[in-house]
Amino acid sequence: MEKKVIKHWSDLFKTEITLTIDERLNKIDEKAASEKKLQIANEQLAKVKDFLPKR
Amino acid sequence: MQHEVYKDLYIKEGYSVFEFLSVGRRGVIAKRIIFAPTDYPYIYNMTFGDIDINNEINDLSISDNGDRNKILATLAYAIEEYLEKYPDRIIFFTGSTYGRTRLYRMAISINIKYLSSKFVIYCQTENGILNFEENTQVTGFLISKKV
Repeated sequence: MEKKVIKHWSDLFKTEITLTIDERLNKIDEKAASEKKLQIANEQLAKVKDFLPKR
Repeated sequence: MQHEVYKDLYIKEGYSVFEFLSVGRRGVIAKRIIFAPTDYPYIYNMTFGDIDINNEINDLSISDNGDRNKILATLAYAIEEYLEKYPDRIIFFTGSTYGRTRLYRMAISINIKYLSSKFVIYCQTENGILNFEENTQVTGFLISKKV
């Protein structure tokens, strides 16, 4: 299968980075894969919910 | 920034998962970064760690591969790329231990001049959310794209 490759210039590091879209990673559910850490984050954010930056 | 960064990364379509290989004195170690939505609008949590034998993130492992700064730089790059893709989002992250949160704070402090040209950085403290300050005891970080 042909892989999709993206060349990206990083302003921060002044270099070109190669990003390859990987079918294996497309199968990952990011919420399930980081469930414990997400739970901790939500608990921490709840303590400061009134101070969170607005967009 | 002057730091070396890993230049070959694998991603999920939509940029919510990044992977790269750490190459150092203990061999080749696969690393994964995940950005996932929290319960709060616009705020996405970043999880980072080694990929274990069950294909899950282990954020407590100590790989001691001699490339710590290059890994931290690659994390900063992933944040840069993610916020380029989603400029309205805010990334929240914390270390898996007190020591790692402190390491992140020190790394941000050392590079604040470069980082603040691209990002607005806040720290979570016992007193709420503050603009990033060196030498402040923090429990987490929030990063947004500078507009």
